[in-house]
Amino acid sequence: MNTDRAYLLGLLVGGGNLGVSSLSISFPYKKWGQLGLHPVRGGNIAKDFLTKVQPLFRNEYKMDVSYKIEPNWRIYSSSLTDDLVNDLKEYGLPINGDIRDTADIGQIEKKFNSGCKRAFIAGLADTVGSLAASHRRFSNQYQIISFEFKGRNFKLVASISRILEELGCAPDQILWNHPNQHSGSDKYYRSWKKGFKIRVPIDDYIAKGSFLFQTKKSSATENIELQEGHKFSVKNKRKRFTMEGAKTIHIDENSTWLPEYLRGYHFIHNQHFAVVLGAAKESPELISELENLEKHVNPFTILTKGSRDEIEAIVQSDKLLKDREYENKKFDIDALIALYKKNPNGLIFGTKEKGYPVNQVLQGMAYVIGATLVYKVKGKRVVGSFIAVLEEKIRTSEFRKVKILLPELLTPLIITDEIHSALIGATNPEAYKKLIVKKSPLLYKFNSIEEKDLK
Amino acid sequence: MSDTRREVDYYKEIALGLKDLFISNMPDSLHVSVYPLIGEIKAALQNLILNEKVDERLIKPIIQGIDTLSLDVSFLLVNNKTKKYEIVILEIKRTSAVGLTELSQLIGYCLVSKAKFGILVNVDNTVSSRFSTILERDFDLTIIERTLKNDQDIVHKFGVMKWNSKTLAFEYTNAGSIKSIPELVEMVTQSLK
Repeated sequence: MNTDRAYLLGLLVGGGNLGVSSLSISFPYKKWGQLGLHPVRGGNIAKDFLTKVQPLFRNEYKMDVSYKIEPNWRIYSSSLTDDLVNDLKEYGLPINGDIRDTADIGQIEKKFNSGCKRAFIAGLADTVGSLAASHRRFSNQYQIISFEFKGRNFKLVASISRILEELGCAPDQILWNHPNQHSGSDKYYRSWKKGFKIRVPIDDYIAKGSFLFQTKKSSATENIELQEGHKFSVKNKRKRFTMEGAKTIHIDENSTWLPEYLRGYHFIHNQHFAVVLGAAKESPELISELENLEKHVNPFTILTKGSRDEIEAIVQSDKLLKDREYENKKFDIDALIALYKKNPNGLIFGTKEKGYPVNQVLQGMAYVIGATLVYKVKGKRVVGSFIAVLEEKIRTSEFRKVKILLPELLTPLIITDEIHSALIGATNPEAYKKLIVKKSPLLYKFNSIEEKDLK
Repeated sequence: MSDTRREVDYYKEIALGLKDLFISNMPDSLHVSVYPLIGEIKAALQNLILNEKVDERLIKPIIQGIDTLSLDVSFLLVNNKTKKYEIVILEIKRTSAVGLTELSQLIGYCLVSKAKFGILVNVDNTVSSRFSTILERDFDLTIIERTLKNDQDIVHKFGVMKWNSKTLAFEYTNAGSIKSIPELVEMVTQSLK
């Protein structure tokens, strides 16, 4: 293997698709590479294709490649040489279809020296390394390069993370393409497949990694300038381990779409995935949180928003929710807001340990009133501060139609104004603990919750 | 990177970049040491003995066999097992387009020093189209075979590349008989075996 071939294999794993005797590499540049928005950059991307990729394919694999701009940036060739196919085979890569979907880069991890690994990662960075200035932590002061993948190749993402770590540019966070990452609150949200993101601090990547495309390097340098004067210390670069409340046990955790080795298991944090997949070492914080797993899960939804009919359909489809008696519970909205301001994690309609989280109840209410008044939501997201929306609308006649339907057991309560509704699950660690089935020190499944568990 | 940098300001980054590429592309089994040399070659070799603590017995004969030459960047590559060595010369330019004049200078250095491999490097720029056409049409122009006084045959090969100071990477012009860095490393490797 040499560094030029390693770079090309990086491009192929990032966006390559092989046919019987053809090759194409897609560059998902979206807005960043849109000619209408960035004509100069567009011209430079074409130049990068012609002056960098074309000579490499010609020198290394005796292949002529061309490029297309529409419908997306793409390099293609109508021939494949045995030399390239042999390299793919030698390093255990697939020789047909979308390479990243099934690629196992274990051989690359094992056999490439650090120079070739660096070149391989440069190929990935030039294809799937997103440099939108919006990739940042907290503010511009902390810029990120985000390696983004679609699909379900969890092991590929883990391998890439390990290589990045080995090169000295460890990811500060990995977002996994799993419902526990993309839909931690809404048990029923079906469009959770938003992809993987491996986020690496840009100054670490500039120092230890590389780009071959000048367009990519220029964007990285521009982003670095946004954080000039606000350098974080090395100690602060790694994202601290923080748990942000419980995650729902999503209906798709058992989906056959997920690889078998993850199917049916519940994950509480991105680091939990990383440790299970061998992309990070387990931390004492993670182990401690797993020992208190019941505090971090909810077999019910935490917050599901929708039209009245959508929520009603969910309730009718679940016997435990359908068989409940719901009381139209009177509530004092001013008192709820005051409670939230005093303690956002406070519980209502229960005890100190179990009940409905006031922040979720108020978010549900803000959605219902906001959605009915149309202009206060975007999709199902309340625009701006949900408390501000509530404070603006609680004296209106529309708000007086909002009611809370409280079940006699701690199953989800319903907030509705008969046009829109929200379903809010209760915090109930004592009951949820009974559902835990430990499969290994790091892997957990959950039994379905039944009426008896709540009595 | 400011445009006000002079040609000499790029020597170090090019030398370090190529050193990494030599190391990354050499087979591990060959046990080759790679020494980048900047400036006049005899002094740079002497410097290896003084500052890098490289074995004097290895370097002294090389110094004795070479003339004083003011080079931009060169490399000494030594097979630690057989003690065979090769010198690679880089002629660095920072001009809108390199052509025959610059190539001739590099060829001269390689002939005098008996270095088999030479790369003409233009910083952030490439070759003139006329020069490119000449090299494409007359491929042999960058392969020189000669027989030394002691009947030893020697083949010199030359390539022309661009150094991209933004990405800190070599880009290929397709001009000359050394088309890429891995190809250069392969040639040097064969020679050191």
